[in-house]
Amino acid sequence: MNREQFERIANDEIDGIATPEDREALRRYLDGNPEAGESYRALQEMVGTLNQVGLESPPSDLKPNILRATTSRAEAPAPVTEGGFWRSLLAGVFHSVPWREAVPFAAGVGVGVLAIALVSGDLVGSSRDRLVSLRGTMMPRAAHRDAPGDAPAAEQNVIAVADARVTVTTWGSGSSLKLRIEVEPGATDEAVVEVTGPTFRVSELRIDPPGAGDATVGPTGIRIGQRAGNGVGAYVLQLRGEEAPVAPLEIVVRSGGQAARTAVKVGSSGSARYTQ
Amino acid sequence: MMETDERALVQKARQGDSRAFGVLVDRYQRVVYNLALRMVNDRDEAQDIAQTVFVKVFQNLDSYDPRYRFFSWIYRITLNESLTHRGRLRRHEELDPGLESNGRGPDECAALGEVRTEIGNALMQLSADYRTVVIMRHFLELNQMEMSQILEVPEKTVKSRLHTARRLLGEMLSRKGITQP
Repeated sequence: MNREQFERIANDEIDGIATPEDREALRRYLDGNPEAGESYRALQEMVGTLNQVGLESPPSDLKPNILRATTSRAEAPAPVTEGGFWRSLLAGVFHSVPWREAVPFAAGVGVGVLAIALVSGDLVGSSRDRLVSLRGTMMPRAAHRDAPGDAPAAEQNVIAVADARVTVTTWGSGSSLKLRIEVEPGATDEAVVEVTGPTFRVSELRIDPPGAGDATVGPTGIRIGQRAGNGVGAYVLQLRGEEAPVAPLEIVVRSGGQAARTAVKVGSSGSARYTQ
Repeated sequence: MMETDERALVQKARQGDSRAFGVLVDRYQRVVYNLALRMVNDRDEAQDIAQTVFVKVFQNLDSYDPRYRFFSWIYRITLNESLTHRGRLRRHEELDPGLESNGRGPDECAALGEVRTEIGNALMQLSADYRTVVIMRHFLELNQMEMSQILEVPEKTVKSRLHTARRLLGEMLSRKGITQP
C-alpha cells in the first residue's frame, strides 16, 4: 500500500464507507507501519475534534426577522413604472456635480430646494411618476462594523426593484445620521439610489470597494449609481445637520424601468425610524 | 424528515402560507446559520447572510424545482451567498485577525470555546472549496453523495477535496497544539 492508497482508505474508514477488504488491508498496514499508525491516530483525533465542535444556536431574533421581512415583501404593492420630472432633474444635477465639490454647495443651497420639494408634498415623485411607497424590510440589527461606537440599535430596509436589491442600514443620533447603502444591481440594468430629505451636510462618503460605482452629492441630495455587472457596492454616508431634523429622509431606488420609494424618519430621540 | 411533507410545505409557502414558510425556517435556520458562520467566521455576518438566504428562498420559491431536494437548494443558496459576501469583503479589506476572532464570547474562555475559535480560524485559511466540504461533512453531517449534489461536482471530486482539506487542517491544528502532530 502506498501513501496515496493509505490516505484514501484511512479517510474512507473514518467516513464509514471503507469496504471490508480495504478495512482489512488498512489494519495490516497499520500493524506493520508505526509511522502510518501515528498519522491515522492524528487524523482520527482531528476529525473527532471537528465533530466535537457541533452547531451553534442561531440568534433568537433570526426567525422573527426573516418572517417580518418576508411578510412585508408579500404585502408590498408592486412597484410601478416611473418617469417624471424629478428624476431627470436629479440625474442632471447629480451627473454634473462631483460630490466632493458639492458638499459645501449642498449645505447652503439645499435648504431652499428642499423646502420647495417638501412643500410639494412629494420629495421625489411627481404625480406623473405614479411612484408608490414600498414597504421595506425592517430588521433590528446587531452591531455592524460601520456602526458608530455609541450608536443605538440600527434598522435596516431592504428594497427590491426589478432584479436589483438595495439594503439601507441607518444609525441615528440627534442631528447626525449614518447610512450604509448596499446596492446589488440586476444582471442588465444599472441600479440608481437617490437620497433626499432634510438639510444634511455630507461629512463622509466612503465607497466599498472603491470604484464600485458612482456617488454624487447635489443640492437636493445624494445620487448613487451602481452599474450592472459591477458587483455589489456599499456606500457609507455620514450626514450631519444643524439640528435634529423632523422631515424624513426619502430613498428612491430605480432599476429596470421601475422605481420604489421608502422613507427613513430621523427623530431627535436619536434612533432612526423606518416609516411606511 | 419526510420529503413529501417538505414538498407540501414548500407548495403551501408558494401559495402564501406564512405558517408553512415559518416551519421551513424552523427546520433550516440552524444549519443555514451554521453553514454561513463557518464559511465567514463572523456571527454578525452569518446572521445577515442567513436572513438574506431566507428572503431569497421566499422570493424564489416559484423557481424551486421539486424534483430536487429542498435542502440541496437552500444549502446551495447559502453557500453562494456566503462566498459572495466574503468576496465582497475581501475586495476592500485585508483579512483582519481581530475580525476572525471577534465572535469570541464569555463562555469561549473554556477549552471547547478556544478549540472552536482555533478551528474557525484554521478553516478560514483553507480555500473555499476545501472549507466547504469540511463544513458540510463535519458540521452539517452530509454524506459524499449529498455534498456532490449540492456542489454539483462528482463524488470523487468531493472525496479528493475532503481528504486534502483534512490533511491541511490537521497540519494547521497540530501546529497550534489543538491536536497531536
